[in-house]
Amino acid sequence: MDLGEQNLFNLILLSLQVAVTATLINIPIAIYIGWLIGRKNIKGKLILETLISLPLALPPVVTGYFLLVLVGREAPLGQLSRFIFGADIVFTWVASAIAASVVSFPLMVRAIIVAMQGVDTTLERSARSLGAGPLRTFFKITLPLCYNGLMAGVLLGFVRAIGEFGATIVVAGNIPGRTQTIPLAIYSKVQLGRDSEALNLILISTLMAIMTLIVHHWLTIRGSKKGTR
Amino acid sequence: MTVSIDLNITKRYGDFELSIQSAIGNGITGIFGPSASGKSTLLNCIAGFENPDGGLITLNSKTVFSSRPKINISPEKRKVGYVHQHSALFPHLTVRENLEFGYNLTEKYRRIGSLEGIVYLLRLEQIMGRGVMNLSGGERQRVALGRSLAAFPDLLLLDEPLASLDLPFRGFILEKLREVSREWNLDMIYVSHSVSEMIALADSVIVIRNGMKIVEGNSSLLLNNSSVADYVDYGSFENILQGVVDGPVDENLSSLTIGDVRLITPKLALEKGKQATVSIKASDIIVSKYLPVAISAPNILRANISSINHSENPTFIDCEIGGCSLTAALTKQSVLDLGLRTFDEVYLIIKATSVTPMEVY
Repeated sequence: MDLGEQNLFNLILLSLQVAVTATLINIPIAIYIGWLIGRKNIKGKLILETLISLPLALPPVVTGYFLLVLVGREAPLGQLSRFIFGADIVFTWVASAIAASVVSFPLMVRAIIVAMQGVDTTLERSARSLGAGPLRTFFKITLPLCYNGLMAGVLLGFVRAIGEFGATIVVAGNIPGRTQTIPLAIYSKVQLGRDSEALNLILISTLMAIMTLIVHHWLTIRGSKKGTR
Repeated sequence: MTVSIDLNITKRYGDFELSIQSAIGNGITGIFGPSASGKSTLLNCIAGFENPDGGLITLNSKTVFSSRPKINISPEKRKVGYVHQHSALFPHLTVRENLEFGYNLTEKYRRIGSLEGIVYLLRLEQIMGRGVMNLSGGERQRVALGRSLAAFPDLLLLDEPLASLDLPFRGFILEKLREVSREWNLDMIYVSHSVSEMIALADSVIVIRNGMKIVEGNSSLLLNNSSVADYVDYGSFENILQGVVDGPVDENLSSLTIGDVRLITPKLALEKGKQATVSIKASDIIVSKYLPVAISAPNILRANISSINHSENPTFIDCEIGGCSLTAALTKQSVLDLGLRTFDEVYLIIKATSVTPMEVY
């Protein structure tokens, strides 16, 4: 299928590259935060929960603006990037990945928190009394028992990342072949009146979302049957 | 390895405060008390799952918790096993993997037995490959006990492990706990609110209430101490006895030897020479001052009264019979009418159907 300046294959590839990178950045952080909130009695839990949910409540454009302030050419992180890599972050696919990562993070972490809260504490205590340290207990007991919930969270985050638009357009622009992902391409096609090309992309994006959500629901149902005494 | 435990701890939850000071000796120690008296909190503090607000816990002269100076040994380093009421088996692992979890983490020099030995002891051979979600309550608790034993702890904590089990499985687990305690020289702390289990199993007992120690001593104090009387269900007290199967007497009855006593029981499925555990309700034992004649009950046991608890109703009469002891529950009026006194010779009359086998086939 020819989409003019950019063929469909490259568009999907870039969208996947951005979404997969965003998801991979989020997974370890979301597991750690999920464990902190779901399993530990830490001080400032309310503040932490509010902060991680903030991108969910803010208009994505506002999130994008904050990111621009953080990683823009004159911002500390932007300068650091130029110093280390000799390149800017803004208006690159890396900026798209960062934007997708920030916006999809709350969905992923909230699912992981719920999954971790569902693990029976006595199972972890049993593991400790059998000689397993905290790390072994986490990787051998806690994590396997919330695996389905964790995967559901990862998929939810991925599907949100692949559909990200508002924050991305602010921090990464809409540059075909460089930062243009499927949602941005749909926007451009509609703007240019190329409705049939936009429709094809809409169909692809809808199919991808439906498939991911089916797997997500399946994992959630399976997860609810596990981890009980 | 035997462990003596020194405890002097306080732990507060809102209005509730646990404050216990005790030196726990070797053997099986029962912790007895009503619900919400702090029994599980005490176990959690010993295991290291919860930290006391202050105080000291030493296991075998080694300090595992101290508020001053600050010492807090992590649970995995305390070598304290824990069997939970609801077994807490790892649901994503098979029975074998559950058992191997602690076994593989135990240093070889600490293993005083083999995994196969534990599997044989608890009769787990047939279920080793199964997932734990499909096990019965009795099977789950046997696996939970096996899993704790396979880590070869220095001390085993048991938090009401029989509470949700049927009678046969209770007998089996009690029998195995006694066996392990004796043969492995393994000390245990056993939490329960069943007087019968305490008397059958515990060498000594600590009674706690509202977070405070009320009394401690020999487990028989539960039958004759007024401070525990108001929350003990004496009506359901049962004698739990272990003996050796002699074999069938006829098609419906078997014979069991307990000490020097031969007891006629309902038919036992266990073979001759095997250990069997039976239960006899104290209220099902009839006491006679004279040898009854022409009576249908097959068990007429000559005994001597070792103690009479006059303070409670029913009145418990502890009797010694050829190396075993049996407790009968009588009304105060019956005791007065018969003029029973300590050291009197009496006859205990027990129907065969009053003897309940606690077997696992």
